[in-house]
Amino acid sequence: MTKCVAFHSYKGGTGKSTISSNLSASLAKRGFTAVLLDVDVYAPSLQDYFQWQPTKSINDYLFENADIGEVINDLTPVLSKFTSGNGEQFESKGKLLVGFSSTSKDEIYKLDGAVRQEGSKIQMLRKFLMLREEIVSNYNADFIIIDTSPGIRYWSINSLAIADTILLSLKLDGIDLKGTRLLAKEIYESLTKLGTKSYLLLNRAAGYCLPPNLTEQAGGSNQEMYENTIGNQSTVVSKLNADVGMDTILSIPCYCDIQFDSNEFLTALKFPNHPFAGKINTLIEKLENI
Amino acid sequence: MPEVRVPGFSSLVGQAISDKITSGTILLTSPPAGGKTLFCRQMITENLQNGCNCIYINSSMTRKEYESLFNNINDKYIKKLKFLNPYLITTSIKEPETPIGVTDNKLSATLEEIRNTINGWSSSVTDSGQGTSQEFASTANEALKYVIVLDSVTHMVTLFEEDKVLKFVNALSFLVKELESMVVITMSGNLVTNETILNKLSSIFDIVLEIEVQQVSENVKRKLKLISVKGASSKSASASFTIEQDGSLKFEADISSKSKLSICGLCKAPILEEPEYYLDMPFHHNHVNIYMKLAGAFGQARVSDVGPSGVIDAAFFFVDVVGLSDPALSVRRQIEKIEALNDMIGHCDTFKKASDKRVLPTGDGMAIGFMLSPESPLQLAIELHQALKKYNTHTNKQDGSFLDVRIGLASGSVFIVNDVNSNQNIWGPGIIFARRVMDVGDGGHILLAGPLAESLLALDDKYRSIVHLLGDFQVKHGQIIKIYSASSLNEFGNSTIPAKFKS
Repeated sequence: MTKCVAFHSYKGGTGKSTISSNLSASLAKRGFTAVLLDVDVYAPSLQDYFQWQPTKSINDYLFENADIGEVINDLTPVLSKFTSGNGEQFESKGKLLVGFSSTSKDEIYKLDGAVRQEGSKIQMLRKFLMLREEIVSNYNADFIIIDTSPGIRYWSINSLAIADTILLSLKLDGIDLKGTRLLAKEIYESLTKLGTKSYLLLNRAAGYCLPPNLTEQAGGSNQEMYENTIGNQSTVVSKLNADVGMDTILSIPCYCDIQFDSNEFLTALKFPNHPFAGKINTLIEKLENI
Repeated sequence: MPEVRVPGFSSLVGQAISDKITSGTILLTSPPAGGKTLFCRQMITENLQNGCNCIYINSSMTRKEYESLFNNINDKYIKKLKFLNPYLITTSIKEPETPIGVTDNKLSATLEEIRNTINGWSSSVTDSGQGTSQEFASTANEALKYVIVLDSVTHMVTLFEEDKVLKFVNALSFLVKELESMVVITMSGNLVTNETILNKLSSIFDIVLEIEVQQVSENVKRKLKLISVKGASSKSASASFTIEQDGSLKFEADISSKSKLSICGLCKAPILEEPEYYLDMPFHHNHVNIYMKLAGAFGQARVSDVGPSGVIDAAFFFVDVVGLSDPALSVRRQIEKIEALNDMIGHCDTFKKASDKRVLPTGDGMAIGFMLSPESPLQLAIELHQALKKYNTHTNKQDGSFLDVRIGLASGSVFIVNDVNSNQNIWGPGIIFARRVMDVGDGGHILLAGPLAESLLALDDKYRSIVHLLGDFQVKHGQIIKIYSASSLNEFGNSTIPAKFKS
């Protein structure tokens, strides 16, 4: 049975695209058929991330200008560039399939205009539902991973509604508590009542490295500062969980090497021994058990 | 109130739409021995059982033959069935006879007899219930439904002058409109062999059906085909049927009555399995939960605001070729004109670029529904006129090659329906409205219904110089609509007042 997971956030820049891409590729590596959909229709980024120029986009599908086969790109061969943990050539047992949103300004305007008219809006929604159903039936997908638009927008809500699991991604270095609470109460609550599972996915958490100058200024030991920071963060997260009524599925530390890598690309596959790869594997195991 | 049913019709359009069509004029064509008389018998039998009163008109049948044909009718219904043979009817007016022994007085007398019969039925209801009024179409008629079957026009034109038969058919059509009832008119042959008569009568038929007969080995296979509904052609909707030993018609399993036209409250597509209901709305199984989620997130009103019945709003372009049914025009020339029109429309940018449109061929033109932009129909009309201008530089009116069209534009609601090929199609008031508007115009007119014109005028100032109000006009069924005309001197449209407006 296909599991549909939507990555959502209140604000942009929380790592949805990076994590969803790494998750999808890692699922394929494990032998699953993973279909990654870029439904961040207002600011699509996966074409750039995968350096892939699709002939047809999800926009074309929604406007009935393309069939499902033209929209879903088989990127499994991309995975062969990577080696496995022991240095051997990586062989994907599964499939990585990706549907991209159009990056054309005119196409984005057109889609935005179409959803402002009730007649065409319902046509768009119908096609969006068909997109999910055709992926399930035509590709026998194990996972559909949706990278949504941030905030409360038409396409992000539709994405959340067709998902079985929602991962609300937020950066611990700048939590918008009010926005997160708004999403949890106003949107997720009505979905979870009907069976959708929702979790917090914390990004840029403390605990990967210890800034040396911090210990000098405080005059304490590195270990003590480290533990204080982790402790404080733990308190914040516990309060957040209680406040929004959602559990944390995963906490991903702020990995400086990823954060400041201008060409981050499927780190979980590129560096299979990196702790980030371990986090993605943990996420897969948790998703499998939901 | 009794319900009018057309045998097999729900198999063609689904139960939901079949239930809505309870009045109007239906044409049924069939090859000889196709089963049209038995279809008429079935129509009458079913509707008598539904509580309707029926009149069967047949100019080739004796009373004895009629009684033999309807020997299946239960005695309790027989008073509600009237048989009339216009050829045998007696008239009180003495008129010189034509060489074949009949005059149109017989048709007038038949019509009079129909009215008297209906008055008799309605007054018997008022007598027994609400009073003694003898007036035609009294309140009693509101409780009665009539089915009139004329079987067949083809035979009638062998006995009466064609023009007089056509007038008789028209009169029947008006009569059932007054009564909000139904008349079924049969013809032998098919739409091609009856083309001349059909061209003259096409505007009165609300539904056109055809019985198709195929000889397969020793078996005869019959199909009831839906050719058009309210002027919109249907893509090969058909239902097979057999004629049983007792003369009754048995249609193939009525798939539509189960679910064909249950429209999903979320995706608005027909539901082909047993629907699941939520808030009295039908849904696909896998959509009810998503609907509930969206309703929770967006709010109930915003999710369901397009209605539970699969109704959408669209803007429509309706075009037909002026004078295509002129008997002086050869079929070859007619085909040339239709192909030229199709080709020109197909090459218009607005047509090519419109991503969500529905095209319904209508024989002498087409209806195009644009789902996304109210501007598209007018833009297409302007482009088409510009293309016609170029095309007609090589034609002339004398040899009939000049291609003239009239165009009606309107916006409104339509149903989304699936045809038997599972192609999504649309029909409903929005299309019909565009046709009504088009019918008002003459060659070269681009006429717009009020609501569409007013939305364009509000949308962009550029329309103020080209879209002009003509005034109110009463169209079919007494409906009054505001009509605008789009024109620009020597570029597109026809700036003259339509002849129908003047009259």
